Amino acid sequence: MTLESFTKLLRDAGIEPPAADLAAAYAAACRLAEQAAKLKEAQQ
Amino acid sequence: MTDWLTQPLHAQAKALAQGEISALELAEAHLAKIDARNGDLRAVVHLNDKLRAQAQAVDATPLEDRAPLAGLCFGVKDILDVAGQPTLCGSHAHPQGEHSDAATVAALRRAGMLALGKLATYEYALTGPAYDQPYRPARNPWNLAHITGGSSSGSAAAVSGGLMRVALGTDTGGSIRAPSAYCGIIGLKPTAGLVPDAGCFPLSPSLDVVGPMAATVADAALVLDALVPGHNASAEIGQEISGLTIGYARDWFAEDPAADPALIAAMDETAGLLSQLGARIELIDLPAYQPLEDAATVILQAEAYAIHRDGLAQRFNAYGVDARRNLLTGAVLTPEDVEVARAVGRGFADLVDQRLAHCAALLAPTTLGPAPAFSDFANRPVWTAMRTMPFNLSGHPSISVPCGFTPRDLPLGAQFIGKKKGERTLCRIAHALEQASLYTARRA
Repeated sequence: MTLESFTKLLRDAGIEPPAADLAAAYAAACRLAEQAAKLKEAQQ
Repeated sequence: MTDWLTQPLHAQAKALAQGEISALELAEAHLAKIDARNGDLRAVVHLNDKLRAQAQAVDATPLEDRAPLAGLCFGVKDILDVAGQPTLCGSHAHPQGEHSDAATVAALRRAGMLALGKLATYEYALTGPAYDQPYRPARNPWNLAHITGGSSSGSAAAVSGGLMRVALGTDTGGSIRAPSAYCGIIGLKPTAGLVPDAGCFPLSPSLDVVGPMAATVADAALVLDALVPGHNASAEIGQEISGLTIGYARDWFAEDPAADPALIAAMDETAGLLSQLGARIELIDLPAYQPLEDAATVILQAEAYAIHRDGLAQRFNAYGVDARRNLLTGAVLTPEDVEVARAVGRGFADLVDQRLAHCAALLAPTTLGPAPAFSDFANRPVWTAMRTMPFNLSGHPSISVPCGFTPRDLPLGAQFIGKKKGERTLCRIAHALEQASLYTARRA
């Protein structure tokens, strides 16, 4: 996921965070997505 | 003169029934303690201004007409509704309005108990400590420079600091048990679905559980019995544990670099003590911890985002910085991600059931070390290692019990995990440990 697609995901939900919040949340969201991907991989 | 707040709830109830103390005197004793210590602890964030009148109403009721726990007092985490008191959820973002009692608060009132007031919580039970909430973070009674843990931060500080015997907390990933361990009290996370959660603002409905945090196991069991009439969690308290098998999940934490040496020693000592009490300690294995925590996190973040999506769209800046950044992360998760995480949870629940088929309970640490200092959070996020989330994922009941102290005199906690709806046996085992170790007798 790119920062742009994360931004779009939030914008589509009506959420427009300031840049500092967006950057911090994006970094954490990438880690979370990675955790989810690892779980999926382990289940297959 | 008796310090009634050092007396167990059943002793307070007996004294009330025998006229040794009035409900008003007991309420005044709580208010005096709150007045004396809450400035330091920051546990109570709203006091019930009708407490005295409610206590006087108890005193005016003939003994034979009183509810069984009439006049006993409890505190309420600030994400549970109490009629006539605000629910802030620790957030400037939470809409205010009229509400009735949460189902748990109503149950305790039906049993005759009096709500003292609201207790601090991490913002929306999510993350902390933070300084952009409506109130400042609660402090650990054992050392005011240390956090209480969360999210039931005020409940832990209030009970540990002796302001009250019992408080309601909520546990989505450890929020009853971890602060209980950090503050040296009992934290009981009941079986998923056992305690009604109406009137509790949700964090993650599939994982959330409401339960008691208390000075002793007997106090916690007494309150659970009032929350779930007929469950009778107190029934086996005082019975020996000789002959019971307890599965000790030592490999699940002892090799983790995050495990404090004092915690490992305290856990081994706890297993030894249980053995001396006649229990059979059997080393058991559990699956790798991290994927379980990851699965619970995926569910929690996805559900929390769904709950707060509209709120974030409408009043983003009213949320605290850490809370809003945390909540946004859930946007990236898909329904498939959540379904995979739930499958991991079902697999783990089956495995725990298998272990419990021949064990009365499992033994594991609650957290892997003591409460961090506030200063640890100054420049960076701190990950506090624990072993709690998997049992929110599996739905098994769990009780955290003090099991020792660090060389710097900070409490450590062990948790017992039991069969679903097996709180009776859990309380029996936890009480036996409590009596033998006397760690809960130490007060901050």
